[in-house]
Amino acid sequence: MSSYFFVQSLDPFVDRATDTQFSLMSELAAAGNEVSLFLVQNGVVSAASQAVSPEFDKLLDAGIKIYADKFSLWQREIELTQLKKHIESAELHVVIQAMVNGEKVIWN
Amino acid sequence: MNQNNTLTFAFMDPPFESERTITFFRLLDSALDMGVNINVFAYEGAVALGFSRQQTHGNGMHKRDADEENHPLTKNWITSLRDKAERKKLNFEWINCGLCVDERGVMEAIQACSRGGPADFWRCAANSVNTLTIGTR
Repeated sequence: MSSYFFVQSLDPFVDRATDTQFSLMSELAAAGNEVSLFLVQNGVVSAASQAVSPEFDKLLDAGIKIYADKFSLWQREIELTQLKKHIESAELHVVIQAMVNGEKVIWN
Repeated sequence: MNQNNTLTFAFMDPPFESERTITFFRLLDSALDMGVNINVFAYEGAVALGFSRQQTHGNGMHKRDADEENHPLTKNWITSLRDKAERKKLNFEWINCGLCVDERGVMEAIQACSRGGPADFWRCAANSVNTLTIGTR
């Protein structure tokens, strides 16, 4: 089993590749790997409760730890109360810690 | 924290173009906050991040001079990170890809940046606990 840590800067409403990236995360988790996801920049748009993104929503119940960058949320006026379930706001330190821990950190 | 607390970053975005640049610098700042040594391999447009002839400018449309506009320069951010690393007794190595520098004519880099090549990126990655490559897409 491996630990994957995805930093997601793209959002599904702008870039078609994002859905494929979310599918990969689901498949890695389903295969028994530990998967984490850090949403940053426009990536946090998927986290808003109003955002319609079926591929992203599959991740919410897939046992994947999901973080949303506080600064990116603030820039886009997305309140913490507007986040979908199982999403935690966090600072970029989480990414650095994952790198130091030796997780496979991948930038999307 | 791991005994080897050095991280390497590869970055290719030019200054003043993308939000990725802000996130990249925020990551470096976070790493220093956490007591982590940093290697950066800047290639393609990112070699201009440390170009010493970057200049602030005013904004005539808004009737603001250069001081009022307070335009951020990435060369100053690199220097600030280098200074922060020194204060915290951490290593901060920034290597510009020499080929990419020559292509763009941005040879005049600030003191915090050195010139190198892919072999340096390999050396940095081999001596780090982890490496993050931030691609454009």
